[in-house]
Amino acid sequence: MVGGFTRSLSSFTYRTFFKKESTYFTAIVATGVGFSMVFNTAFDRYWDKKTAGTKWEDIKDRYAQE
Amino acid sequence: MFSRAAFNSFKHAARGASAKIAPHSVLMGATVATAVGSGAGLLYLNRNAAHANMEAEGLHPANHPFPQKKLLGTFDHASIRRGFLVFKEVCAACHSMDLIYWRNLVDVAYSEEEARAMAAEYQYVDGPDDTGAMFERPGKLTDPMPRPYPNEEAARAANAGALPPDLSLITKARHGGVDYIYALLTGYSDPPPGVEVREGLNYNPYFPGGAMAMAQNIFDGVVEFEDGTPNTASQITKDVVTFLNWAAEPELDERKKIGVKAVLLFSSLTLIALWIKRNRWQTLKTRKIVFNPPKNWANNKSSK
Repeated sequence: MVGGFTRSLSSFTYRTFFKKESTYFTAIVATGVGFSMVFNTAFDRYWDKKTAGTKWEDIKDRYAQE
Repeated sequence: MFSRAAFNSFKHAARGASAKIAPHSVLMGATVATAVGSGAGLLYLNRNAAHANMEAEGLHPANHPFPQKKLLGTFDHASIRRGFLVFKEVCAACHSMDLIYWRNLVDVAYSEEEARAMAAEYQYVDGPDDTGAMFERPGKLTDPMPRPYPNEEAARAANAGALPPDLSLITKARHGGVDYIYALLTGYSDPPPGVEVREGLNYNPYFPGGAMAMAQNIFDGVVEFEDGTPNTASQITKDVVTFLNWAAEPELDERKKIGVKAVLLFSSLTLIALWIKRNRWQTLKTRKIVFNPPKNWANNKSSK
């Protein structure tokens, strides 16, 4: 067993990610990439619903293959 | 949070003011009232000034509900498409639009094939060829909107000395923006009694000075819309103004979208930063500094 530690989420996070700079950096980048993907997908879906019917993508089917 | 000490001292002073320093607080109150009153008065006069030469500013246009005017509103691209048709058939006879290219229309109001076909209807001068001569060729996507006149002098000569301005940025270049352009195009009327407009000019109350070189060009039915929208003068004007707004601000849709994202992200990061700051300062702000005098301190004050 690794030396005595508190069995909490924050303690686990500290031991696995924050103690070594290499893991800390990897965790930051991974969180950034993941958050960016999720946030952009969710926001774009919301924005497309909000502007439905007004964009070119919504009206282009009326003028197919001229 | 924000300087608890300052807040408490202000409360204490306010409570004690009436007791000890009444004249000071009365003076303070009088000063504040004067400042606020004069500020409000100046603001009112600034907004509601009447003067002898208001015709020089032009009648203030009404507020029209263009969807792209709202804080998070974007363009109606069907309106942009109709507006370009109006521009091409009515306005392009006199007005240039040098900053818009045929390729700018692709995936905004027209498909690539449609834009290519429209560009090819016009002849453009190109060259020189191998013999050194310039030649004419049908338009491509990379060409700009065709110019009605080759230069300013030709434009003035054809329009009784007046230069029809380039419309690429007109909604950004005129005070009042889309509302002003819409009001101007629909605002032609007979001059009121007593107002003389010289031969060749047209009365338009929205135009600064009242006398405008351009005559009314948009009437009911001047343009036929392909999607069946009723072609009343107001509808035609609304669509062409939307097109002009797009020409001046093609980035509007994208700008507002990433603007919302930016505000969301930055405000979240600010709140996180505030929390981290307060978390790191807790140890300092809650520390206690204690002075433990040596045991013989009070007894030997004289023996120094």
